[in-house]
Amino acid sequence: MHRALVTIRREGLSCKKGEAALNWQKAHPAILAAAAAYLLYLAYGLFDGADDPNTSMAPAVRILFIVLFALAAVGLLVYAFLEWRRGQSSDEEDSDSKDSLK
Amino acid sequence: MESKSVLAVLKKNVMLIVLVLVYVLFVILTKGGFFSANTFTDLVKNNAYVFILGAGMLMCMLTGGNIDLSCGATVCLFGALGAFFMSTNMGTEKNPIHVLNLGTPLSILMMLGIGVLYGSLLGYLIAYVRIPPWIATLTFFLAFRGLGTALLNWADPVNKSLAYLPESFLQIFYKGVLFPTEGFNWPCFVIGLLAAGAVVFLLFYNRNKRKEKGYSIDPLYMTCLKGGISAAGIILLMTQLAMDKGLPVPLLWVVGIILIYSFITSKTTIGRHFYVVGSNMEAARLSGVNTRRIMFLAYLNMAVLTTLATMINMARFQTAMPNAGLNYEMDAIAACVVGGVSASGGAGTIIGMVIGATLIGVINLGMIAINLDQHFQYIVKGFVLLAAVAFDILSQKKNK
Repeated sequence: MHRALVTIRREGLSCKKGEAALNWQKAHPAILAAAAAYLLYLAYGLFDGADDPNTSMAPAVRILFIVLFALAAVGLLVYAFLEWRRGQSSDEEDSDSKDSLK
Repeated sequence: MESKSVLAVLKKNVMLIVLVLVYVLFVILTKGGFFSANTFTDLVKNNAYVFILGAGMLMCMLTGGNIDLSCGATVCLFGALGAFFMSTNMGTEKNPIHVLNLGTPLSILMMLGIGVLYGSLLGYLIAYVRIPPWIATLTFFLAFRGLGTALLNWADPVNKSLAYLPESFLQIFYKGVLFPTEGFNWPCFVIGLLAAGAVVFLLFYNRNKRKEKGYSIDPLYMTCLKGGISAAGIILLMTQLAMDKGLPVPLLWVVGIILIYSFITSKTTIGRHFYVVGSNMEAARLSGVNTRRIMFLAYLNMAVLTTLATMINMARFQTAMPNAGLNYEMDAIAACVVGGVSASGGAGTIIGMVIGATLIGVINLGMIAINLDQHFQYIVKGFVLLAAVAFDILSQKKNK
């Protein structure tokens, strides 16, 4: 009886871990894409303020950070896209294995 | 019954320690200027929307890492609608302004009604039509910003914004103070003492309850330390507010929301269902939890809280503008993520979100207090975000 209970609990925990991973696969690319969008907004903010007479920021520093944030945003978008693709393919594999079990 | 180690307690409260360190850093950088009554009032009033939207976002994220990208644009559209309902500025014969001038109570009711309708539609699309939340909310994000701008352009073609909101509305949501007095606000100070006492009492009461049930508890000295720090923090905040003007209305809204949602998430069945659905939706469904209803409620709740945040935001700026609510969704998500809410769902607390929101508020206000150039502020924000993303990706790889 005790062994059965332990097995049920273990199965439940592994199922829970799998579900969390699935949620993560679903949500993580969206969060990364949102972060990339915000970085692009910051880069645009720096670009837009180039002709602001009140700023004390040197043009070279401004250009450096515009490029840095833009590159980081593009990198994040690519990473998010790849992660989303990985999630999609593992979803398809899961449904295939369920079909073959049936 | 087992006692938690000091390291475990410190690890659990790491964001609180970071918050204190960042605050002390700004106090040092401003030579004590950041530790003023004015700063406390500004911190509360300017960040009220983050706490409120953060509470709604937390409930969405608990259900499995779902987020609402539309809340910032919703603040823009609902603000435009609210100002259209209640603005008292009818313009001139030459330049008429299209507003309804319905008065405060009816306008608030109409805004809440629209909020509930929108929340129901969004919840229905996500929970029952099964549209992925980020696609549904992104659609509304794009549509609402455009609709809000179009409404403002039509209502006031000259200024493209609506002002002259009723004084009663401003008092209810932003300008008002509880028990206003001349000089030091004693009622505010007394409320602070009572709140500090209540927090300490609850800490020890919960500790005893856990001890009776045989759950793990903090060491006694750690509970004393927690109680002492919490009480000191509350009394300090309330003393500073009492020295300024008193208890600002936005703080009452925020405290009300925090108490209600703390209670819902920790003490009610429906609150626990949000965690269960986020941890394992299939198991929750098989256990008899109506998972679709929980998803529906998460987005309905988010829309209602967004309506409240809109009202506070409108009263803060005393106008409805096309760029209202810009990046508010990012602020709310950041408050949750910094506060330890799991992006995969099923874990996170209101108190964690409050600490995250306060930390972001302190950083934003601190940068203004040290007169940092706005463009340097962008760079600091970018670095904080990049550090958070790098930490997230690296810890994910480590877990794998």
